[in-house]
Amino acid sequence: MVQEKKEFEYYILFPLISGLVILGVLQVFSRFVFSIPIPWTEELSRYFFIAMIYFGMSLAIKRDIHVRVEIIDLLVPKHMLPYFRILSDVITALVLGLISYNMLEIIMNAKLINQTSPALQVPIYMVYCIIPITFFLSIIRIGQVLMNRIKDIKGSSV
Amino acid sequence: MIDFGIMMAVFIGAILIGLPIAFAIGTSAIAILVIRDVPIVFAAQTAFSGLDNYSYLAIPMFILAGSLMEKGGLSVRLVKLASVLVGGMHGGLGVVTVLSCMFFAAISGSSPATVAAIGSIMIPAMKKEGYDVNFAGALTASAGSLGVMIPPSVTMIIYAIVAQASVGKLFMAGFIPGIIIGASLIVYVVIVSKKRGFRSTESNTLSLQEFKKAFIDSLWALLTPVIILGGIYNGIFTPTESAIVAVVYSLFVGFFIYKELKIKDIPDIFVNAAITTAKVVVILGFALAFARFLTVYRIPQMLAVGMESISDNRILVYLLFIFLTFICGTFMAIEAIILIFTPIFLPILIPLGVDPVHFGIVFVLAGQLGFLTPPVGVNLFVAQGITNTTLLELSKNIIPFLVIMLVIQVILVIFPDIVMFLPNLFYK
Repeated sequence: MVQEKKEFEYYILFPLISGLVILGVLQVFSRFVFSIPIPWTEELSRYFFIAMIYFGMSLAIKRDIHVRVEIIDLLVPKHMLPYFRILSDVITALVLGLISYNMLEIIMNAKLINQTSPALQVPIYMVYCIIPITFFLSIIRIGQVLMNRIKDIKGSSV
Repeated sequence: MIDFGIMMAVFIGAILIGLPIAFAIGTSAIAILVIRDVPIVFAAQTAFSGLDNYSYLAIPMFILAGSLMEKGGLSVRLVKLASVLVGGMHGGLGVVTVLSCMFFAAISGSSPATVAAIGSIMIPAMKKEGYDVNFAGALTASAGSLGVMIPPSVTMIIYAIVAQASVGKLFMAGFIPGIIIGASLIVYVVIVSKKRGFRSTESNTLSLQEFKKAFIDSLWALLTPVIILGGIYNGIFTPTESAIVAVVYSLFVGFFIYKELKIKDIPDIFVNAAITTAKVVVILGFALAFARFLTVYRIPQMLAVGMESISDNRILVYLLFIFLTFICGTFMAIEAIILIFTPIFLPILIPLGVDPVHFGIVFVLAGQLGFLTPPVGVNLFVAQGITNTTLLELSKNIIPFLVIMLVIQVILVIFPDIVMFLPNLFYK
């Protein structure tokens, strides 16, 4: 069997979800075996989780497997379909762009007041950066998907 | 109220164009913020803070545990046990399918996963024994919906988070309805099989020896729900912790007891669980911005007033709601419906004396019915992938199953005590 080439996000998601399992085990162990909970496992898990979700979002865009309602596929003639998909890609990119742009403002504020996370004492603005980074990655992925769709349209019209 | 209309119009429009549900919700939230001149920072904030909650971690862990158990050989052994128990009777394999789905549901939290795990073993087996393949597919799709009724259930965790209800109580509440549905499906299968002559050709009499062997072999799989649920109800674990224990347990059993897991499969299993989670939870991130906007502008309260002018009869409003959920469920995933409807409907129903736990169970079941109906019936699609017949043929066969589940649904609404009996017994 040929080894399929994995996406960039794949190599981030694997350590993230493995990390969640390991942190969880640490937490359960520290509570039952040593009966002193480690204070930072929960916080770190939450940040890992958020990163996992949004890197997963990006990979799901790349693989084109996000949950959508396929009514349009039944209503529209087949050759028109790619145009609708392109339209929805563009809207998605816009929404993600708007949200991450506004996240920058929150990040600036958090940096200004030098807020740190309660247990780990890391600057909170660095944690917030998960959003613009993953959203930016997602927009790049949308761009890739978009290019493929355009290529397909051109390919089929020739 | 106009705001709500605009949001829904944008949302439905975006869905129709074919936007993924998560981004359709995001688009409608952004649209209303722009129109109302509320800073978009509001939505950006919830993209982070909305997911910043330790209870969510139970979702990837239960999904991961479920696929580890499937790959680790637990589901095969459960089927074996069920077939030793009832394999020889009329409709025996059909009954095995339902029982296996119930067992598997008790270790997995997702219904398409249950259809895939059990269906890929049972549908070919039923076909070989002369069952109508479409009937077999419809049966598995329906029985698979027990995956979210019998605890643990990822869908219930999501509801619990949005409704701020107790996960433990919801899990408890799912038991009796799950068993009622399972029993009804079994009765129906036996009746149809007698009429159409579906029966295993091998004379399969139960010997104590066989039973003993199958039971001991599947003991490790059967212990899973005991550990997960026992841990939660005795207050030893939180649901999140019990999910982590389930992952470790299924890794242990898969590697060392059944020895069917391989190290090289692990990265794919893990990453697939991460992606499955992301697909669901991303919707959550965007839906929370949507929900918070609704709350700030007191839209549920306004809808409630409108609803009261129609009727203040609990059962009538409830049935109306189920109908709406069912309709939406035919084209939308249950998780998305829960995320959008809960903040709108729960405030309407609570003053009418509805318990959030009861509402959750009815809600999840209504969504399950949607899983079984085209155009977007996830369970149906999974089953069709295994039967290789047309969706139309499968849909025809699903109708009696739908009717059975619908009747149970109505019974649960009229007699809420059926649902609330166990949670009331265990949580005083």
